[in-house]
Amino acid sequence: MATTRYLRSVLLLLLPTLLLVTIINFVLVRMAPGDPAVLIAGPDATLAQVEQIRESLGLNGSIIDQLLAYFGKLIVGDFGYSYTFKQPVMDILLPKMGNTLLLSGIAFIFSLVVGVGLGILSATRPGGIADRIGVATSVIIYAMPSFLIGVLAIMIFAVYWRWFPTEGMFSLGMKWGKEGAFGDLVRHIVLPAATLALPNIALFARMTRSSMLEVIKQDYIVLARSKGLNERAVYIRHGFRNALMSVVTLIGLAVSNLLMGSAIVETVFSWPGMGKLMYDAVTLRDYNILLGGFIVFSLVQLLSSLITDIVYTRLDPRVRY
Amino acid sequence: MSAPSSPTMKAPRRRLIANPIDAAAVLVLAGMALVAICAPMFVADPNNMNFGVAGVSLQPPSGQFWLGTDPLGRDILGQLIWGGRVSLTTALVASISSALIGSLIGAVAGFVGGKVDLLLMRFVDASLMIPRFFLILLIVAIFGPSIVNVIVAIALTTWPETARLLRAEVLSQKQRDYVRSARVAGAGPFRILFGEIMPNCLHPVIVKASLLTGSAILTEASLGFLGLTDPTLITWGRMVKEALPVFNYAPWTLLAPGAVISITIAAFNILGDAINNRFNPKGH
Repeated sequence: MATTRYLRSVLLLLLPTLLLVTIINFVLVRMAPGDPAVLIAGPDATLAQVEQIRESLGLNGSIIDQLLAYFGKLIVGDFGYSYTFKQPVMDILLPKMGNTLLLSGIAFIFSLVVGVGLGILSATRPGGIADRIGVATSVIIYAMPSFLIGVLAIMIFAVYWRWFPTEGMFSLGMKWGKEGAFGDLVRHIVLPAATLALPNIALFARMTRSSMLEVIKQDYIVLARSKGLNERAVYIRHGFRNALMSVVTLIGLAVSNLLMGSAIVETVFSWPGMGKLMYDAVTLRDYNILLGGFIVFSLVQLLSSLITDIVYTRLDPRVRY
Repeated sequence: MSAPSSPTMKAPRRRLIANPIDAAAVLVLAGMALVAICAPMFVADPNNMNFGVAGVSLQPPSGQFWLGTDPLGRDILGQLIWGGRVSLTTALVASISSALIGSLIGAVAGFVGGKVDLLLMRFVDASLMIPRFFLILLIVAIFGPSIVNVIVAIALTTWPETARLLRAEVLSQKQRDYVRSARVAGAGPFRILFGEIMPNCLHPVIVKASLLTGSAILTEASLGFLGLTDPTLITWGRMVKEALPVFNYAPWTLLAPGAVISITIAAFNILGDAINNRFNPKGH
C-alpha cells in the first residue's frame, strides 16, 4: 500500500519535528537568564501581568506539568498573549501570514520560471559568453546578502529612477477594495519580490544548468537527436523534463532561503508580513511573538518539504514510497 | 553526491586550483587572513578611537579615508579590517565547531548502527526541517547578541547537515576491505572508527565547513541588519546595523561592508566547490 506507507513516512517526519520545535521553544524560555515570566511579559509589564503569566505558564508546577500545559495550548492554537501589542499572538500572526505568502509565493514562482529558463539557456551553449556571464553572476548574486540587494534596488529603482515606491504594500490611504488597489499593490510588490527571488534564481539556474549538462550526455538524448528531432524538442521535451527532477529536490532549500529572506526583505521594504513582524518583535523584545512565529515558520518549511516529496513522486514514476 | 573514493584509487592527480576563479578565491581569502592577522601593526583599532572627531564624520571616500568615514568619524576601512578579525573568527569557530559536532554524531550513528543510528537520524531529520535562521534569531534574541552566543547558536543549529553527510560516508567506508583487515588485525571499534575510517571521510566535512563559514558570515551580517549585534565589538554585522540610518546620504557606509561580506561569502562558496571537485571530479 503505497499511500499508507507514504502517510507513515510523513508522520515519522512531521511529529518528531513539531515535537522538537515545541521543546526548543519550551527549553529556550526556561533556560533564558532571569525569570521566564518577566521575559515573556516584556519590558513594560506590570507586576500583576507578570504574576498572571507565571500562572498561565504554570511556572508554579513541576517541569513536566509545564511542558504538558504548553503542548495543550499549542494544539488548540493558543500561542499566548502579546503584551506589547495587547492582542493574542495568533490574532497578530494570522493577517501577516497572508501578506508574507503573497510576497514569497510570487517571488517563488518568479524565481522558478526565470531561474530554470536561464539555466536551460546557459546549458545550450556551455562555455559560451552568455553561459560564462550567467555562471559568474549567479555566484555573485548567491553570495550577496538580501539586505544589500534590497537596499541597492531601492537606491537605483526607487530613489534614483523613481520607477517604484520605496516601501509598504499600498500607498497612503489605499487599501483592498478601493479603485486602483490592484495596480498599486503590483507597483509595491515588484521590488521586494524581485529582491526575494534573486538568490533563488541563481540557485535554480545553477542546478538546471548542471543537470541539463548531465542529462544531455545520456543515450536517450543521442537517440532523440538521431531520430531527427530538432534541437528545441530535444532540449525541452527530452532534456528538460529529466533535468527538472534535480530542480525539484531544491525546493526545500529554496523555501528556507525564502523564509530567511522574508525577515530581511520585508524589513528593508517595510512589507507588513511575518518577517517584518519578527523584526519588530526582536526590537520590542516580544518573545511570545518570536516563539509563535518560529512555530509557524517551521510548519511552512515542513509543509513545503512534504509537497516536494509529493511532486517528486508525481514527476518520477520510479520513486515509490 | 559523493562518490566513494579511497586513497588507494589511482586517479589522475587533479590540482586543487583548477582555474583562475578558484585561484582568485584562494588569494582573496589568504589576503583577508593576512590583513586580519597583521591589522594591529598598521591600522589603529577603531574600537578604541575617540568618538566624535570634529569635521571628519561621514566623509566620502578620499585619499585620506579610502572608504570614507562613519557618523562618528571612524575610518570605514579600519573598521572593515578590525571587524573582519571578529567576523571571520566568529564564522570559522562556528563552522569548525559545527563540523566537529556533526562529524562526531554522524560517524557514531553510521558506525554503531541499529537503534542508536535510528534515534540520532530521526533527530537529525527533524532538526533539518527547522528554519535555521529563525532558530538562531530566537536564541540570540533570548540570550543576548554577544559574539559567543552567535557562535553557539550557529554551531548548535547547523551540525545536522554534516552529521547526515558523514553518516553516509562512514556507512560506505565501513564495508571496505581495509576496515575488515584492521578488524582482523585486532583493532578495537574506537581505533577502527577514528584511526581508520574517519581520515578517509574528511573531504566532505572540509567542503561542508567551507560552505558553512560563508553562510555563518551571512548569518552574522543578517543578524546585524536586524539589530542583533554585540554592542562591545565592531563586526561586519554591526557596521551594517550602524550604516542603516545614514546610508541614504552616505551610501559608502553600507556599500563597503556589503561588498566585503559578499566577496567573502563568494570566496568560501567557490573554495568549497573547488575542494569538492578536487576530491569528487564527477560532482558539480
